[in-house]
Amino acid sequence: MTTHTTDSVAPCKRCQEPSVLISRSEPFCKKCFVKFVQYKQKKRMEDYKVNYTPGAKVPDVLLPLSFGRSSLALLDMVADMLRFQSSTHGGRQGLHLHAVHIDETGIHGMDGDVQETLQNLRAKYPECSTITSVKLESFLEDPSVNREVVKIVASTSTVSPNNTKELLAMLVKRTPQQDMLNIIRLKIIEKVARDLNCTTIIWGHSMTRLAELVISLTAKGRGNTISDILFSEQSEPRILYPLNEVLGSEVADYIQVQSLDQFVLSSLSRRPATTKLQSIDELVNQYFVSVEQGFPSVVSTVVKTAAKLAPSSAVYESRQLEVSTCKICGGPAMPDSLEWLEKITVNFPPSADGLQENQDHQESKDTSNELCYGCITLFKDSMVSELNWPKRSTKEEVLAEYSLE
Amino acid sequence: MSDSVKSSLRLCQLCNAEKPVLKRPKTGQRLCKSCFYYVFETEIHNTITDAKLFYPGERVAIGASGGKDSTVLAYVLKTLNERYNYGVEFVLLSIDEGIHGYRDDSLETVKRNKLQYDMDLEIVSYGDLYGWTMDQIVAQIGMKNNCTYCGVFRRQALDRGSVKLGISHVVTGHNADDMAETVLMNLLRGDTARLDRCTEIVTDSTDSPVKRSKPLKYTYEKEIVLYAHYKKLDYFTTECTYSPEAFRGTARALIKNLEAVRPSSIIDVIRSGESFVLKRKLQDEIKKAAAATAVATPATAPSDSKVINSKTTVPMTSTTTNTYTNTSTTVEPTSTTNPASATTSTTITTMPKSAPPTSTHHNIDSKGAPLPFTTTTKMRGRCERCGYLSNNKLCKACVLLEGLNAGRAKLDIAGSQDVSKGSALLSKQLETLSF
Ligand SMILES: [Zn+2]
Ligand SMILES: [Zn+2]
Ligand SMILES: [Zn+2]
Ligand SMILES: [Zn+2]
Repeated sequence: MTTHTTDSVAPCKRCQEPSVLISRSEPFCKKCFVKFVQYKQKKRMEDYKVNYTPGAKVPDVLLPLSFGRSSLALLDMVADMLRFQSSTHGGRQGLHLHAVHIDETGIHGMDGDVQETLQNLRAKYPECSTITSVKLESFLEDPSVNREVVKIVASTSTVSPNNTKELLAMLVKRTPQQDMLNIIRLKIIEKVARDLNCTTIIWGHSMTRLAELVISLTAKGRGNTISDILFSEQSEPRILYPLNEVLGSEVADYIQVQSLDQFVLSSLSRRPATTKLQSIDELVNQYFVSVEQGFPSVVSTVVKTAAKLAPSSAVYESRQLEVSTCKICGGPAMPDSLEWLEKITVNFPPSADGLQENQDHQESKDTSNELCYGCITLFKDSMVSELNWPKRSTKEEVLAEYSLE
Repeated sequence: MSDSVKSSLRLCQLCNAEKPVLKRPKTGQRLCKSCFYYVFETEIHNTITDAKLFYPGERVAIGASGGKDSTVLAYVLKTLNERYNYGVEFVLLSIDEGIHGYRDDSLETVKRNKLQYDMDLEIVSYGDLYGWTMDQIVAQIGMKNNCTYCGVFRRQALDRGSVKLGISHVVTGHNADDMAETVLMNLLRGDTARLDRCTEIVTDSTDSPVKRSKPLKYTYEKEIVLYAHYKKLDYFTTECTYSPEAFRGTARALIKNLEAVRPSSIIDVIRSGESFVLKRKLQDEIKKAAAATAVATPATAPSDSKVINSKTTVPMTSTTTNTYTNTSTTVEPTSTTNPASATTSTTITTMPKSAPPTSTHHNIDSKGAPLPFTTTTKMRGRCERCGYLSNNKLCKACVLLEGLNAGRAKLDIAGSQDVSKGSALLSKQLETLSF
């Protein structure tokens, strides 16, 4: 943020009014800056114009709202777009906007009141069809939700998690916990989208956040899904990142000039001070914060480069690879993941050559085939050091337990 | 914690018998010496057999700098060659850049390694080859861009050294940390051309007659240090006095932090890198596949289909089962028109059948030796001045030399008539070539 404090103010390059900030080395007045940022969002969402075709259905669009700056900025921009559509098209809108917040206060505190903030937002944005919240815990409470996650987490331990908090606690470290939390959030958002018949999900991610995602997915062995997650063109529902050309610093500026600070809430589960205790996402976030100053073009370079990667489904189809769906994250699970890992991380002593190695493979394959590499890594990390896959009972074990001889 | 758990924690987590002496960087396991040596070496062996890196009778040069990576590489390759009967002849190939105090001492190390590992040693020096040592180059151009010069010169020196030895395969000591760093660097700097290929174990270059490979691509740098330490290997510790650019340092720091919070991060990054496929390349792939199915030509089938029929067991491949069945399943038994594979099944060592398929791009004659700078690679042209492979009138080294010789203080190849690429791009491409 480069807000002026002195009176030597350069004029806005676009309208010659006094500028209030500088972005991409250009001085902006408030009005022109808001226009500049909103233009980028509108360009991304130009498919959602008012449709005059008789009988045309107005699409329902879901906006996941974390109360972070990006999702609030996006909410403000889309609401503004709807207000404009409504005023110029006789009350018509190009989309019905549903904002949903995942209430995580059962897991970690927030530095403000969630329900009160939701109330205030409903009052501020009457253009929104709904602004609601859903509890994170619903992930386990709702019987219709995929319980595979619990099953698999339970199978790696002697106890079974009774609720989301216990489930996360079982993952021990910050990175697997945050990874699992992200997976759960995604599953909840997908379910809400289904429940509200939303055909599109719009995420608030800025370009900076997307660059962080590219690097952190790469760091977590999920690089094969970068294209699927960030640049998916034919997913169902449709996934859009309308702020993908807006820098993180510009989102912060937008929040300030639009006076939205009061709605920004953050988790009380703060980033640990020591690097060693931070999560991979937090490390990558810090990396971009530090590198952006010396090398400002890095963020856009990363996003542009990642955009050149092919979607995983196209790769697997072309190479005729049989890939299953990961039981945890729902991403593509390559059948070779564990084998690859075991070849380069040998886990048996010198004496136990040959046969034993093959046996190990056979036993561990059953579960690992159902998980993607990233999720295998997630569990491996959370189990301190050893990859201890739930193994099917051996013949001897079965006999010992069930044979009455 | 119960006493029984406590006491079991004191034992090696793999053999449960010996006292652990180290915490394994890759996994955090506490291991005894022999278990550590075993997993360390076996993982490299798995990497070699999986990629079918060598074939029996092959002569392979080890790019030896005297540093820990190439010293451990030489030691482990010697060990595995004997343990698994690869049947490979390894030769040490060293480049003398002419960096006083750095290279003088490291070359002494390499000379001792030659005796310790009983391998031939060839030293190629910048001074002899180009008439310029790195010290002289730096004295003229300053500290900026000197890695560009060094990269261009080293690459060509390695090629020339190999050709002189009649060798078409150089292995280098690039480790997993280097690989992970390269994956991140390519993303961070937008090096699309290399993004999907930088993790390949074999680098096949269109302008080099020599194949390069990286048997340590999954080996952690920290484990190389530990291995060299416990094995008491003789290596040279000082880094090159001319340090690389600042931005690479940021990626290195990030990887260090990632590894600290999740030890598997380094291989996780490599795993990601191996999965990268460019849209553009995939389209080409799909087009090619469509063309191939339209005209099913038996002549294009891989020629190694015969190997599985062979009763001769190649020692090196016998440890990995089904190494060849993947490729052979799609091959018609009658499709082989290649005369080499039509010969009897006992002449298994005459052709590099166990070499990776990519090696066919190289001009390897029937003895596995390259013809000096006559080539079937895509690069047709030769440097007018020195005869090195080049699409331009002058090769990159000669362009740089021309500048040096003209006494120019600045690297100005972007303005040169022969090189179409900018100097930034050039240095980018050359940066990863060092070993
Ligand atoms: Zn203005
Ligand atoms: Zn998964
Ligand atoms: Zn042991
Ligand atoms: Zn030349």
